[in-house]
Amino acid sequence: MSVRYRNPEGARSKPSLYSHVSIVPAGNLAFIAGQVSADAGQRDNEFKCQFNEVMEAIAGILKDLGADFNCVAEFTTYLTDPAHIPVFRELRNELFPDLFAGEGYPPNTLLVVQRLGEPEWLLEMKTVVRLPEQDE
Amino acid sequence: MNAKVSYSNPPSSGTPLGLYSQVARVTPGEMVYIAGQLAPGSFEEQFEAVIAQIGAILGDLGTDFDSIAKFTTYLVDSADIPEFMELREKAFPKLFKGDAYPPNTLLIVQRLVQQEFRIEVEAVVRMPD
Repeated sequence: MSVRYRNPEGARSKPSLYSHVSIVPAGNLAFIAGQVSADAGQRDNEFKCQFNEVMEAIAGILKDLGADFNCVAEFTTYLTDPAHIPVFRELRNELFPDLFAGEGYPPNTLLVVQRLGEPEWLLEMKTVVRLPEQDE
Repeated sequence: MNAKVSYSNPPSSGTPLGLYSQVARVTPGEMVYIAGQLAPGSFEEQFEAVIAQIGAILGDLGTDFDSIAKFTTYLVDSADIPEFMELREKAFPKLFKGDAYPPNTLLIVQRLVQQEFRIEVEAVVRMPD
């Protein structure tokens, strides 16, 4: 049994691709450290480049763990500039339908912080994963 | 109180600074992750609505506040900390059956998803079997 996403009626409406709740069956969990761009700089579309690199990094780790995006229990997203919020949503709206097979998307908590580990990092994403059982 | 989640303050840890515990011990079982909840209004209105929304989600899932393994609370202004502490002291004894409360990590961030939001609370929950 895998992670299920849900939006209870008591919750506020949501503006983009996340759910208020994920229901995670008992099993092994993995906690993935916040992923950042390995190539950050002053590129055209720097935020988009970093978003794609972060998502690729998470995809690679999930694959190594024998899991995929449908195993994600929750994301936490850190941005350094509120001006990137609409871009982040747009990029997520474009990408997530290709990454997630089932109905719904993981809960995400979006935070704008003063700085990340390196000054050129614009985005960091942390992930909690429910690992599939061997026989799933 | 919930047999699946128990709160404690080990002797080696400092006394909590408000209504939270240093430790939640959680038995294996189904977990629920609730996205950070937000609401408009004054700080007090935001606090009350956010807690009510978490309560409504817990109710919808067939559980209650005693199933919470931990909270993370984000504020945008450290000047709101005393009001947060006061509101929590008023609200939590009515929401939790025991006299101990879930661990909470309190953080001040630059901004939440919309400018008007001053508090966001996310929760991890251990579902009853």
